[in-house]
Parts: sequence; C-alpha cells; structure tokens
Amino acid sequence: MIRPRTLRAQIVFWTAGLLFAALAIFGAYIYESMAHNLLEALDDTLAFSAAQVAATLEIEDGGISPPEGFEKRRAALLDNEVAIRIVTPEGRTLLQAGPPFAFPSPQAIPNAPEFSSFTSSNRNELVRAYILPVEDNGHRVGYIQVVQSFEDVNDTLHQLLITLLIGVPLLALLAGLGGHFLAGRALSPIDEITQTARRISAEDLSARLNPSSTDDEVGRLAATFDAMLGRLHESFLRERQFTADASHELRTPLAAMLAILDSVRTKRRTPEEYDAALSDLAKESERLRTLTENLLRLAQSSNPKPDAFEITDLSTLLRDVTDSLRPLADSKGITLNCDVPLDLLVRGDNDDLIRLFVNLLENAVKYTPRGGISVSAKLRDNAAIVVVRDTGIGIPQADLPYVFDRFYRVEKSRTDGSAGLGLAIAQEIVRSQGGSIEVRSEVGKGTTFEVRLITEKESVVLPANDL
Amino acid sequence: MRVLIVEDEPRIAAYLKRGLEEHGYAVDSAYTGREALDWARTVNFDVIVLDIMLPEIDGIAVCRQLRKRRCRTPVLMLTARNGLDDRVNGLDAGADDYLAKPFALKELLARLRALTRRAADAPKSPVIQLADLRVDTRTRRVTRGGKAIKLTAKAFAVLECMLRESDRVLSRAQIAEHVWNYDADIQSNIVDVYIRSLRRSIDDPFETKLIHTVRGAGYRISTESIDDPA
Repeated sequence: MIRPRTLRAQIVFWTAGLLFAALAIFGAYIYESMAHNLLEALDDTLAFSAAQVAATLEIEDGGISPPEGFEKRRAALLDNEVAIRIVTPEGRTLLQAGPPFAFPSPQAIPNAPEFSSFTSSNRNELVRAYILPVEDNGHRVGYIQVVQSFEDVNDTLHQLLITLLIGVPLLALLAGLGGHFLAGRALSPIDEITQTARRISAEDLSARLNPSSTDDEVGRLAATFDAMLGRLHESFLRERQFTADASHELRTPLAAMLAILDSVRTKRRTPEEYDAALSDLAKESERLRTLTENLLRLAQSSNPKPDAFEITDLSTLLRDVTDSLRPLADSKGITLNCDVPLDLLVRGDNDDLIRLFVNLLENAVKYTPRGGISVSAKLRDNAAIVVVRDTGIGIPQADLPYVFDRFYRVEKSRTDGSAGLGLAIAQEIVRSQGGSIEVRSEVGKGTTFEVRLITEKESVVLPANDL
Repeated sequence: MRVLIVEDEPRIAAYLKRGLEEHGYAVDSAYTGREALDWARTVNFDVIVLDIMLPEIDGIAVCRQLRKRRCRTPVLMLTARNGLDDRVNGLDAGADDYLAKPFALKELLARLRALTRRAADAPKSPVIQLADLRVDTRTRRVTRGGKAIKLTAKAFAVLECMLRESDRVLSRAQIAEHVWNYDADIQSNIVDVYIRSLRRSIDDPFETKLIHTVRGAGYRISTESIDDPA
C-alpha cells in the first residue's frame, strides 16, 4: 500500500477511508435486515390470505366445497398478487384463482402449515409458497395452497443495493473532498510558516508570520514562532552592535600605537624621545589588554559557573578592595571610607566579587573630583546590602537607565580612556551570583550604587570595632 | 602554580583539571600536541603534564620540540602501564618524570610538587620557610610565629608563587600568570586586592613586614626591607 506523504493527503485518505468503511458496514446491515423484514412480511401476507380463505370454506360430511361467490369476495379476501388453489386430499383442484402460477404439488400433505420457496416452472421466477392443511373433526379434508412472487421483494432489495453501491462511495468521496478542503484551510498557515522560515537567514531576521488569529493551535504556533524570531533578531542586533563597538574600542589604542611608532620612526630621535614613546606604547598596550580582558569577561558572563562558587568573607573582601584602591583615592585627594560589619558571608566567585567592587570603586574615584567615597554594608532579609556612595559629579536622570549597558558612557567623548564596560561587567557579575544592583544619582551631588547579594546562613553580623 | 594539561581524552582532562584546581593549581587544557606547543609559546607554565598518546603530534615529539626551543618547564609524561619503551623514549626526549596510567591523583600531586621543587632556584623542601613564616605546600598550612593563618585558595597560590622566587621583584602580570589560568583573564588591580588580603593575614599583626611594594614594578617577598612598604 502506498502511504500518502503529505499531511493533507493523509487527512483526506483517513476521512474518506473511515467514512467509507463505516457506511459500508451500516449499508450491509440495512440490506440484511431489510431482506429479513421483507421475507417476514411476505410470509405474513401468505399465511393471512390462507387463513382468510380457510374461514370461508364450507365443509360437509368430510368433504369441502369452494366458498360460494368466491370470485366476488376474492378482492376482499386476497391481494391481487397472491395466487390460490384449494385442493382435496385426493389431489383434485377445487378452485384456483390469482396470477397463473404453476403450483407445485407437494409430495405429501404436511400435518402443519408449511412455507417453501421454489422457482415457478411456467413464469421462471422465484416464488414463495404456503400450504395450510384443512381439517374437520380430526380428518384432513384438503389443503389451501397460496403462492406469491418474490419479485417485489427482490425489486425493493435491488433498489436498495443500487442506492447503497452508488451512495456509499459518493458520500466517501464527498467526505474526502471535504477533508481535502478543511485540511487545506487548516494547514495553509503551516505552509506559510515554511515559506517564511525559508526566507529567514542570519542576514535578515526581520520577516514575520503575523498570524491573523492566534486562538487556534496553528495560530499559537505562528505567534510563538514570531516571538522567537523577535528575540533572535534582537539578540542578533545586540551582538552586531557589540562587535561594532568592540572593534571601534580596539581600534582606538591600536591607532594610537601605530601613530607613536610612525612618529618615532620617521627620523632619528633622542634617547629621551624613545623613552617617552616606549612609555606611551606601554600605556596604550595596557589599555588594549584591559579592554580585551573586559571583553572576554563579558563574553563569558552568559554562562555562570556555580561550581566555582565558594564561601567568601565579604567583610574582609570589601576592606581589602578599599585598602588596595586607597592609594588611587589619595592621589586624587579624596577620602575613601569603609564601614562594614564583621563576618558577612556570601557564596560566590571570589575573583568576580573582587572585580565587581573594584569596578564600582574605580568608577566612583574616576567621577569624584572632590569629597569622598564611602563603602558600607549591612545584613537585611538574608541578603548583604553593600552601598557605594560618592560625592561625585552624578549621572543625569536621562542616562540612569543605560549606565549598565555595554559601551555606554554618560560623557560621549572618550577623553578618560574608559570603554564603558566596567558597570556592564559589574551588573553581569551581580546577576551571575544571583543578586541585584541599583543606582541612584543626583547631578552635582553624587551617585549611590546598591548591591544586593544572597548571604550564607552562618552570617552573624558583629559590629566593626578595631578594624 | 600554573599547569598545562595535555590530554586528548576530554573526560580525563576534565577530571585532572578539577582535581588540580581543587588543590590550588591554575590549569589550562590542551587537547592536541599542536595546541600544547602554542600554549607553551605564550605562557610560562610551572609544569606541563603531557600524555604520550596524542593526535597529530605525539607527546614525545612535543617534548622534544619544547626542549629544542630551550623551554625549561618541567614535563611530567603520562604513559601506558606497560610502556617501557614509552618511558625510556619520553625521558630521553626531555621529560623530567613519568607516571603510568592509571594513577592516583594523590601521586600526581606529589610528583608535581617534587618537579616544581627541582626547578633551578626553587625551594628544595615541601615546607617553605621565610623568617618565622612557614608554608607547607603539601597540607597547605600556613603559620607565622607558630600562629596558624587561614588563607583562601587564591591567596595561598599568590603567597606560594611569591615565595618560590623570594627576594625577587614580581610584576602583577607575572603573579597573575602563575596563579590564574587563561580563562580567568585577571587584571592587575585584582592582584593588588589579593596582596592586600595577604598583608592583612601575614604582615599586619606582626612587627616585621615580609611583603614589599616596589613602586612601578610590582611586589617582593623578603626579610629585608629595601623599599617602601605602601
């Protein structure tokens, strides 16, 4: 058997096939019960006719005589199609009426009424016969034989058979066509999805299915597909923007290095000039290195590694970070205070946590021309809240939602040499440790970053004293 | 302590990496001989664990190539159990030691400690002592003046790295290279934080300071203070 290949053909095949099978079984049942009922009705007519006639017989002295005026009463007693004869025990026909069938002679007169079927010898058609013996005081005085053709029954059954043979395949065919139409209607969005999916490539993710209705299954599939395309498109655009920004940032120090090399190689320079060029080159290389390291860290950020997590003493870590950045703050003449309670324990990646707070503090130092920076921490609802507050230049309200974006800079010029990755990395780190970070700022007054990290259960906060 | 594991079977490589990392090593993995040679060209490893059976270039050829390039990094060869010829060829190709597979991680760790001690000017004992500071590289216990000091794994690695070259000035990049693997992409300001953490533990409570800042160059661990402690 050839299996239909498309879903549509399968739906057509199964609708038509199942309906055909069901109608065929139902038709056979109708035909059979019809044949049975018709035969029963025929037999009833014969038995009734014979009984009618028997009631009119006149029996005298063990002999029967045909009813008087039978011909006149015949219409009342019998159907026109019924042939009848009345026979004496000796085999003499007393009366014969109705259609001229050649009556079969029974071999013996039965003791009880009896039905039989045979082919009429003179008209060559199947007939049904009934013999009713007539008795008087226990003596058999003759019998009544009635006969009717099967023709009507056969005609009816034949009609039924033809109706079924034409009707059933026709209905199955109509069902198939209906199935074809419905399947086509139901499946056409799927074809559309296929077409659209073919058009989509990495270069162009803008195509959408835009389903007209999203209530049915296919509509929901199309809507889901659209949503997925949207996310893909968005992340693709983001990646492209990131690559463009990254190459742009990488080009800046590279261009500077090439320019330095060019200028010292055009003619002989004094040793002092070479020294200056080398130290400029070193500065640019360092900038390049920091940038590539930051880019690498951002590229890894999407897959946090909780198996690298260990229990970290956040209190000590914050003091170490502040202490190591104090020389930088001192050189700018700003204060750097750390007021952290003892024994704040968090589970996380130690290196990442250091990087997080170094980034926040370096950022604070960079944008604080005078005044100071304070680092404080407290335990609230199983979370360590670390607040880094500065008295710096602040961030305009319009820029606040974007400060954690990669390559975002409040000041659009890049005079400070930063690439705008520090806060993006800080946010990625906080996220990968299951925490959150918020920023509040007022231009001219300062900026506050609040980091929330999940603590270990054993965290017992003691007041900071001698440290 | 920075280790390169050269092993083409990813599951063994991952198992070794995890095992060594749990014991404070910074581990990079190479899966072919070609990768191993590239790694060794860019990073100054403390020790290389080299499997003999490798695709493309086998371990013996890798080892011979390394020695030809005058690379002095100790090499520990991993050989099959019955590979007498492998062991002889490996040692002759310039390997410093071998270990037959399968082996216990404990033995690998002990052999790595032994190999790193054999480096020219490295401390010859598993216990490194500087003034009253005692560092046991086997148990990773640190004491100063008899007082036990608790260090994080990374802080211990930084201390061990500095002690192996005591009296010499190490730049932040040099320290980072021996304590973190390539994936960690560590920045010099993070090394500063770890140095600060070490100072808090082993210097702040004591009269004699051991860790010294050399302005513009890096750090130095020594009993003699010839520079300005910051």
